[in-house]
Amino acid sequence: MKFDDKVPIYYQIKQHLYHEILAATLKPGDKLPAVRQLAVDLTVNVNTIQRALSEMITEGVIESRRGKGNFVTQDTARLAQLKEQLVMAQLALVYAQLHALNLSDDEIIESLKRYIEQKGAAQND
Amino acid sequence: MTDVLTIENLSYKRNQKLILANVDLTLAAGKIVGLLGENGAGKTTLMRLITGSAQGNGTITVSGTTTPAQRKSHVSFSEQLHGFSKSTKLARVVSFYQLVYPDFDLKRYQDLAAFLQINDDLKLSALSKGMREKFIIALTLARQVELYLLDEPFSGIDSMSRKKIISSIIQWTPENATLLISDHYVTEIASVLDEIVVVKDQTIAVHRGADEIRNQTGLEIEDYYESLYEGGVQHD
Amino acid sequence: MTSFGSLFKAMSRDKFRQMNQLLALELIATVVTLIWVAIKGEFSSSTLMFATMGWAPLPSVVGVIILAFGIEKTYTADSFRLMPVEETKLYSTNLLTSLVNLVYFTIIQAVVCSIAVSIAFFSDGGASMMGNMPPARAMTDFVGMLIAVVVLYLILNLLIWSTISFVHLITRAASSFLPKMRQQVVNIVIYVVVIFLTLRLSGFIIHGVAWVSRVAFSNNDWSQIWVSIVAMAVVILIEGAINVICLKKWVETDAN
Repeated sequence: MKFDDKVPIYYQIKQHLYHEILAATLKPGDKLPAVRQLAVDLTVNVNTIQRALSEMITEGVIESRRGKGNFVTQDTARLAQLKEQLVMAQLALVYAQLHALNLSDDEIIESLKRYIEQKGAAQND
Repeated sequence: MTDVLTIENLSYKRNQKLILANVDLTLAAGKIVGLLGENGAGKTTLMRLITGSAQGNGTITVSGTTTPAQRKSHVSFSEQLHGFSKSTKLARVVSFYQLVYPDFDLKRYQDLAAFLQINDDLKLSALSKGMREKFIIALTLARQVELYLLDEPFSGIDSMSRKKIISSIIQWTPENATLLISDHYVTEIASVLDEIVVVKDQTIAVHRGADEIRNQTGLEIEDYYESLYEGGVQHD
Repeated sequence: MTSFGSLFKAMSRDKFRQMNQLLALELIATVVTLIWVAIKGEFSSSTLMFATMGWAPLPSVVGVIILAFGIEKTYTADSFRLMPVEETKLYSTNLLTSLVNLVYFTIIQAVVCSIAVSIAFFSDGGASMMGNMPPARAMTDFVGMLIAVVVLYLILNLLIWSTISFVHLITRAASSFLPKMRQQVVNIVIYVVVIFLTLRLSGFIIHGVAWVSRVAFSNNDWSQIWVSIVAMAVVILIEGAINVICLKKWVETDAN
């Protein structure tokens, strides 16, 4: 995996795992690879993985079972919340950028609709 | 968390020339630490002082031991095998290590050698630069100690070998051991580092967490490191 | 910490191999000589004796020199200095392994030479040599003297090696201290001192050899050889103590 060296690595690992979970590469109740294996796969340090995982455990996205490893939570409400959180974060980026182009809230909604229609039309061709 | 290495008020002179002065450094257990600095800044010298191959003034404590002979039981250094003649077979070097270091774990060595694709039947003279460095890494990491010192393991090495070496470091550094790795080009190992230590102006100029740097400065480690030489960024 | 047994094995291996290579070379030289003599048609029962005994001294000297190189390399190569052992143990094991391997080398040579001599002796019917056999009382003297000569030989080699180390380690220690300029001056001084020491040493050796031969021929009181041996042992111990201090405090390995 390629990292942006400007952003803390543990943060990028969290983002990476969130995407795996929401894209259902990792399903609810799935066991995560061992910490060292994750470290080797992502070419990062074991401590960094540890930090990312422990934050995710605190957030309730993954669960640690003593002696068995780490598992994706089966709490679907929590996962829905996570999805909402990530969607909002992405939208926040778009919103901020469009706002910077002097678009009003209504104009932003309009352009987004237009974009989706065009994109849908392009895909139907 | 306990400290693996403590250096207090260390200075080192050679031929009446001051090379390191007032060095204080503490490394906690279980870290991968990058030792950065320009060529000739004293990175290798610092490592040699830790192993006892060079002798300076000051106190160096490794896992609670201070005399060089005792420290050697706790430190594994990537030495360049100059003590062996070129016609020595790798297997002979391995069996020398096995004899001389009670902490040498043959199983670990064999796993590392298999991973790095090292052929023990070759002679030292038959190894390419990359292969030789892989062999040295395998020997160094096959010892079970608290502190590993890798001196510029990537200089003059192709990117495939470099990746293999980085993977083996992640995979085989024991959980509570600390690994100090020197390099003058940090980008290739930045994602692996917990902390960086910069040797500059004959002493330790910076010792900071890598993610802390990214968090607080928003810079890449390489850019942050370079900024130290432009006098741009102040550290606290 | 490395155990003495492991350290001994590790430090002995290369030396043992070198001694065997040297013996192989000596064997080849002897065989070639024999073939040469046979081709010239001058082969006799004593040819073997002359060939082996003629070739023996050169490899002995070379062996001592090779071992000396090995000893000095140990002090400057990380491969050896990183071993977890005290300097005193490193130093003494280094000398001991060299001595043991030299003894091994010498014993093999001695065995080969005595076989060659016996062949010459018996094929001759023992007639020409029998007349020179010493009487029984002289035999006991001979054994005593043989022991003294063997000990003298061992201690002499130790003295040679320890003096080489002494010079090497002192120069090395001094050169790490001094600024590059003054280093040359000091090196010159050290070399002068060393040459003086070497002269004294060779004087010592010549004196010793003179003693041995005088004693051997005059059947006098050869116990005085032991005085020289003790004197040499004292020198070895003093040099050893200084060498170990140098290793502990100043002598660094070659940087990568």
